[in-house]
Amino acid sequence: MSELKKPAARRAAPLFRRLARLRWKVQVFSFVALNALWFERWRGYRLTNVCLPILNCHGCPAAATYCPVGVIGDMLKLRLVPWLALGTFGVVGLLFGRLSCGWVCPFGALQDLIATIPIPKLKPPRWTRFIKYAVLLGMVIIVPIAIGTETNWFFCGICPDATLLANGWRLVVEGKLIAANRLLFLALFLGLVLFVNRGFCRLVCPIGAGLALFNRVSLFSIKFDKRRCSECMQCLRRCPVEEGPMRKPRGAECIYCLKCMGCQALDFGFRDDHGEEV
Amino acid sequence: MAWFQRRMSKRRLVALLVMALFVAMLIYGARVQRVRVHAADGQTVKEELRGGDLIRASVRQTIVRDPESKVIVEKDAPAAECPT
Repeated sequence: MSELKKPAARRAAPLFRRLARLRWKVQVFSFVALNALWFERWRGYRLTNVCLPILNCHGCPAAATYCPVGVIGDMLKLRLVPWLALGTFGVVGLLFGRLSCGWVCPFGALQDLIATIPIPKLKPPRWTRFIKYAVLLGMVIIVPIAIGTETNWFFCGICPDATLLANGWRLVVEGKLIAANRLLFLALFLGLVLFVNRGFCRLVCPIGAGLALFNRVSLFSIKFDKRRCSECMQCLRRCPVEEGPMRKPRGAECIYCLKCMGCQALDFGFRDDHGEEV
Repeated sequence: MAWFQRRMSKRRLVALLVMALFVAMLIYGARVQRVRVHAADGQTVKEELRGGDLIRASVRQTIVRDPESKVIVEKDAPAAECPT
């Protein structure tokens, strides 16, 4: 029986829907796996020496890997070059670009969950995307060298993921109260996410800023064939970062959520297109 | 050569060359970079840390750089369980 004659219920869902379902599964799995110190205790494998470019606070006793922001800050404070963290960052960035933001990052998953609340979303002005680069340079690199990491000017002092996971854990398990300034910043960032799709990733996240530098050359990419585009603008409407592959197929803001997939002009993967958006 | 040209765009070549640099950084950080941790007196070397153990110690703040002797010394206080 041909595809068209099948009943609607049995017809395969569009590609972007199937990818969205897969993405939720990957996000849930990665949240469990990245906070799986139970695994270390169960099997004896030690993952806590690995740094991954994902916003997952190692201050949480359950965290299995280290967040690069903390590693870079603490090692710069010791006047050491964080070669291992920088190497991991570069390799992951060049292989996958910001794919880890869209598929693996636990705080990204939380933002996607919040985005399902039906509230009209705002579109931030273009200049706001540069805030995250300033945060990366100022609060992750300059502050640890100049002042140290025991200050609220260091990014971990305001990080919402640290407040939710590390301090949240302490609150639940040990009854330790969370500092008022941390709660204030958490409320601020959650409010931002409520009104701006992926607001934290687009405006503040220093890891996203670092990975965005690799998006243009990363081996994993979205391919856009201009000749096949009917300019229906569906990809732009579905894009959570409002950039759209037809505007910028290799844009720094793209988190490779692949919500734009589903038309014949778009494709994704490691295949090379010889650098041309045909 | 034709195979290489068919397979390799300028962008991919740049990406692979830069990646080689980052792989070298990663290997250097994991295997070569070593830090001598001195006792609190700043004289005797207690241990050498490298790779993941160095990351772990710096993040848990069990080591600090002594402002006077400029060497990395073991911290007297217990390890910070939660750096935040």
